[in-house]
Amino acid sequence: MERAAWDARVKLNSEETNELLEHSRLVFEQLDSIPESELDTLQATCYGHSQPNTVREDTEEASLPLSLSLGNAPDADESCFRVPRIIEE
Amino acid sequence: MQNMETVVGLEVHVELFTTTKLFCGCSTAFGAEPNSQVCPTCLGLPGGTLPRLNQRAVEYTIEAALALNCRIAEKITFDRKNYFYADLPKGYQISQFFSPMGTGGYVEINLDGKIKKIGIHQIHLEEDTGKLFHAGDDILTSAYSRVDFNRAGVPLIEIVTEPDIRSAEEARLFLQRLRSILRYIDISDCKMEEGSMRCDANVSIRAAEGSALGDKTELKNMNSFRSVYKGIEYEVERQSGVLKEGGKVIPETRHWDESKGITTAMRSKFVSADYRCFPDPNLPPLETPAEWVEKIKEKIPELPSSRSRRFIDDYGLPPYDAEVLTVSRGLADYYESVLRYHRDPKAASNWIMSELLRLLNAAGLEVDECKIQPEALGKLLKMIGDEVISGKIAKTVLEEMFASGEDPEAIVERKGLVQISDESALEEIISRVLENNPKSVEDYNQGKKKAMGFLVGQVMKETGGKANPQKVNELLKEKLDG
Repeated sequence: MERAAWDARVKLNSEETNELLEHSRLVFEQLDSIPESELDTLQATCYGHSQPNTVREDTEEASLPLSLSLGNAPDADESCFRVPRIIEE
Repeated sequence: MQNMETVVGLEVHVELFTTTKLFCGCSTAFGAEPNSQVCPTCLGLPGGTLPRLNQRAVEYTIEAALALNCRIAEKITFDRKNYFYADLPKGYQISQFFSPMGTGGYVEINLDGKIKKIGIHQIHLEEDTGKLFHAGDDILTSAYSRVDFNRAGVPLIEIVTEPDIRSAEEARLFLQRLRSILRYIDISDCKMEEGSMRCDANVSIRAAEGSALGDKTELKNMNSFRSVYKGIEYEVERQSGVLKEGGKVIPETRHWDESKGITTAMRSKFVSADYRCFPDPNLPPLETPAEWVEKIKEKIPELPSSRSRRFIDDYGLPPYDAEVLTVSRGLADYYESVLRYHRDPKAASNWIMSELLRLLNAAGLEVDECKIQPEALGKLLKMIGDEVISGKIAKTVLEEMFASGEDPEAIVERKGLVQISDESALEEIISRVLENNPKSVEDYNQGKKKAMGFLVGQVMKETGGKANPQKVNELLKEKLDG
């Protein structure tokens, strides 16, 4: 759970960790029951439908004006988003 | 710790020449104001439109995969690669993890005349990240960073080699050949300095050839062929030192510091499970029918390796000349065009490789920006071959052609540079030179043959370089020995 939390960049206290461990246990139990069913003929459901993808022409469309693209930025520096330092001490 | 072997695998990212991004219609133009080429799709804003795949990006990737001798997947799928970084607005990158576009290819490099195949593990299509500008000197010391998402979503191909590379030099040769191939098929300008071609290197050392691979480090931030060479060289040296002292190489991502010429630890190395890849539910598989792939294949021109072999076979060029002349499609086309006007393959090769490339490099120009048309260079070579002008004068004429684009015959005519081959005219000048240089004549007669060179130089000086040097040598020798 600690590793999963690190991957997701969330901090969990011990109460939350225990709660999520219990949830995970239930999920894994459910997963364990899957092989009991006949799965050989089933495709994994990755997509909402079975239609193949399509492509679009390489033609330019309008982008957002700067006021909108930076509108929700927590912090901005001229026309850039500003973020805290990448490498921690 | 004897017989240690270097093992390198490269991951090369190349931006494609498309007008728009991979999954939206935002422009890919370089150098625009930061964040002026973004939309809800490439910014990952909630409620944004679904990603729509750019056909040209797919075709370019298939073309690259075919040019690198890969097998093409019958169904293309896209997956989400999850990680957190300030330049990745969605918190995941759309890439191809489970079914890359091409697999199992190779690129040939020339190692002192021996051909070595570097395996291509896979080539896949993915979206680029945004660009970070670190406040301060670099990422290690910056207080904060600024992010421009104009690049986020630009189509990138990633080419992953097998761990077949055995030295920094092989890595450099591979990258040069790869760039050459991708430029031949005209899908990218592959400019490392502008970031349209980027290379990370996985470097490890193993005890002996064929033994298990050692722990590897991944080098980042190498922005030129020279950086790649230097970075790998340094890292091999560093890892060898660690192993020799009985230590262990820590698998990690390391940052190449160009100014200090060293690599420094950035973070522990991610393994594929860390990215929790899964199929992107918004992008169902795209089929690649054989007829479509065949149509793309027909567009691929003759590539550098086969063109180089043909130059050797058809024009009798030495392998070195053939390699240099086929490094870019433009240069190879230029060379063959010159031959259409004057079929002396070796002379054309010599003049292009030595004089023309020198002028182009000094001016920072590509061959397709050169003012000298192939026909004009052909004419110049014919004038040298017909002894209308000397090689020395031809260099001056070529420089003038390079600057003005003027026809060589017009320059020679206007400046009165026609070579003096007339024997009586030359004899007169030679007699005068001998009269004026009795000491050199005496030296020659006493066996100092070097004096001959001085006297030839004096004749050339007298004629402003226009005398036929071969004739001058013959006549001078006759006079001195007679």
